[in-house]
Amino acid sequence: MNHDDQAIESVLTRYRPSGPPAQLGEQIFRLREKKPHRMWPAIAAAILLVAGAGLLWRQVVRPNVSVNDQEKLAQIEISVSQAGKAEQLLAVANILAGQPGAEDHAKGIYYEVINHYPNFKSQALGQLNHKFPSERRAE
Amino acid sequence: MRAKTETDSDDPRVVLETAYGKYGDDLYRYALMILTDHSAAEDAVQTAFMKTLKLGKRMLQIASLSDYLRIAVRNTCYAMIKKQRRLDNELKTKRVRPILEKLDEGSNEDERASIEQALCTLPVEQREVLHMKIYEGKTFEEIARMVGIPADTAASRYRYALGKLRQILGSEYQREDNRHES
Repeated sequence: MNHDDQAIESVLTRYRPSGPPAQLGEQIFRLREKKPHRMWPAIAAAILLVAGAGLLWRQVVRPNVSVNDQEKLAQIEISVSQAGKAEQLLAVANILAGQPGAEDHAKGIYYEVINHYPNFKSQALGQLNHKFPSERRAE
Repeated sequence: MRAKTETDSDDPRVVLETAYGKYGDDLYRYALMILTDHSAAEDAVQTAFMKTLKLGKRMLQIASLSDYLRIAVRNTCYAMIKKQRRLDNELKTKRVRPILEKLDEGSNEDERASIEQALCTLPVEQREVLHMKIYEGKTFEEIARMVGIPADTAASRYRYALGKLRQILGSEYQREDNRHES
C-alpha cells in the first residue's frame, strides 16, 4: 500500500454509504406476515367458486337426460339405422332393375322394402312402378 | 447445524428479524454501494430477505445466516444490474438522495458530491471490493471468499479502484496529501 493509496483511503473514510430507511425492516416483515393470511381466503373462495359453477352447470347448462329421453334417443338411432338399410336396399334394387335377368331379384328387394320399412314404402312403390310398369299396384 | 443467530427461537421469522436487526444496515449499505441508488438498494434487500424467509424452517439449517444473506443480497443486486444494464448510468444523473453520509465535521458537501460521483464511475465489481475493504474492513481473503474470486483478483480490483479515484479526485487527493505532509 503506497502513500497515494492511503491518502485516497483517508478521504473515503470521512464518509460512509447511507443506511436504510427506518421503515425498511417493518416493510419486509409486515408484507411477509400478511401474505399467508390473504392466501387462504382466496384459495377457499376459488374452491367455492369452482364447486358452485359446477353445480350451476349441472343444473342449468347441461341437458337433463331422463329415462324417456334415453328411449327416444334409442328410437332415433333405430330409425336412422333402418333408414340407412332401406336406402341401401333401394339403391341395390335400382341397379339390379337395369340389369337383364336380375329383374325378379330387383322386384323382390322392392317388395322387401315395401313390406318391412314403412317409412320407405311409398318411395319403394314409386320406384317399382317406374322401373316395372307391369307390376304397377296401388299404394 | 443451526443458524448462527442471537435468538433461540425456532420461528424462522423471528430468526430473520433478529438477523435484520444485526446485519440489515450493513447489507443495505453494501447494496447501495453496488447499485448506487436507494430505491434499488431497498428492493434488493427486501427481495433477498423475502426469499430467505420463504425457506421457512430450512433457514434454521443455514450455517452462517450473515454470509447467506450477503450472498442473497449480492445475487439480487447483480440480477437487477443484469436486468437493467443502463441502471448505473441512468441513476447517476437521476440520483436525488446522496448515497454517502459524512462521518466528520472536516468534510464538506462539495467533497462528498465529488467522491460520490467518482465512486459511481467505477465498475461495479471494483466498487464492491472497495466497499468491503474500506467500509466493512474485510481482508482480501474474506472478500475473495464472499465474492467468489481469487484474493489476488480482489486486491487488484481494489488497487484499480483506488487508482481511478485518484485520477478523478486529483485535487481532493492532493489536498489530503498535503495535510499528511504538513
